[in-house]
Amino acid sequence: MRTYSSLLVAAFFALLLIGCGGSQPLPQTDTGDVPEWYSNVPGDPNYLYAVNTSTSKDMQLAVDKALQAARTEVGRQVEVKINALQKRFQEETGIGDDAQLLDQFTAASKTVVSTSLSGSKEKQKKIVKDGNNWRAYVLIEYPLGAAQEALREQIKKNEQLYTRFRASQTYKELDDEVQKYEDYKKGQSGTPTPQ
Amino acid sequence: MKSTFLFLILLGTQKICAQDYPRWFLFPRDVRCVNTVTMITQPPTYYRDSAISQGFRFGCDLLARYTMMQISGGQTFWATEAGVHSMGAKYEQTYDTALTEFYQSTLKVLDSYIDKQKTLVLIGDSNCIVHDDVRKRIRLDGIKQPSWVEELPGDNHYFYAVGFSEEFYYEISSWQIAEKNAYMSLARSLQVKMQSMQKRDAVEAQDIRNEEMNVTLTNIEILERWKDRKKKAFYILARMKK
Repeated sequence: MRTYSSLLVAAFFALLLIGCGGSQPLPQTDTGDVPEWYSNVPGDPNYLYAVNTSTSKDMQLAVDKALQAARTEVGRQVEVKINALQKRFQEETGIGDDAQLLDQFTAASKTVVSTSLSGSKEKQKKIVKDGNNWRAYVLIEYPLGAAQEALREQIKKNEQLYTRFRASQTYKELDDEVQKYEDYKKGQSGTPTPQ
Repeated sequence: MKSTFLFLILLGTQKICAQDYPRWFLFPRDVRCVNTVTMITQPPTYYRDSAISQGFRFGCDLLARYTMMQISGGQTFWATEAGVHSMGAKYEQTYDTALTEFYQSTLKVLDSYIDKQKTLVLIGDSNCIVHDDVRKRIRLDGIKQPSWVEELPGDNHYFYAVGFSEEFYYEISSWQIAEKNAYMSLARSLQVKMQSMQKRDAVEAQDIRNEEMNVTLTNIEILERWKDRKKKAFYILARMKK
């Protein structure tokens, strides 16, 4: 009986001490979880890369946000490349004086930028706990040749544009880059690429 | 005291056993037959055979989707200084339900596994031989994190995607959501239209991002499954031929 009473008193004081222990520390983010590829984005002249990180209480939403933002960034990079090509075409062929042709080329460029994300790859992905949320780190890889190939096809579809551009140095370089990309694809798949 | 101790041991044993899976569920690619699918459904409430039959019907429907499925729709996010907010998502899946009936009449249950939390069914052609080592039970604890969880395979013959899910109360929900996320990710790899509008002024910046897709997926294969017990996350690797 005495032992039982002593145990009860000890348990009571133990509970009291736990209650007085103060508030729990805030949950910490494990900053060591930042992946290497996020801090040092890979560089390859044949690919465009974009990274992003997002958080959400829902794991899939965190990843969706990050992936969409990374793909949007890839789209912007493609737009920058296409705009640079457009300027070179303008300078070389003088289509800046021909408003109708310029509009057609601008339309071709915009079509390429908005639909050319075909074959974008979620190269790397990491999900970690960030306090009560999930944090997703993603790396998207997009073959530059695919955008160039799409632009070339858009130009070929327009007879006026094609006639004006095909003799230009810029078009020859674009054609060479696309040919390299097609040879690369042929090498990867082991089957001849249709002409 | 003794009965409490025995009860705790029994509870612990059940918990441990619930982490056993047949190899064909965690590594479907080891089955090496065409037209096979693994299905996870709820555990039997009373009759064991009913659960397996239900799993067979659902599995045939799933195989019909994986044979050919059109996915269309999109989602929008609005990024502000306060964070990124979902503005909504709407997707539609279209597939040929006649294929479901065809598979129900031509395929059969090759193996099954039932425990307190789930019913697993392996469905395939009657000519498919499932070897004993593929039917073996394996523990998730013994499997280290596969490399594909963080980095996709570099094979250029296929589109690869990883789908994942956090842990829900019902384990089958976690696996099913992870599988759905895997083929949605495949769809995005195939083709996605991105649109973005950025607005910046002296005080804040906003970005509205919209993605749309309208793609047809064919012959989707589920290759591997893995569960991270520490993070309580479920991962599935899927692929589709280019």
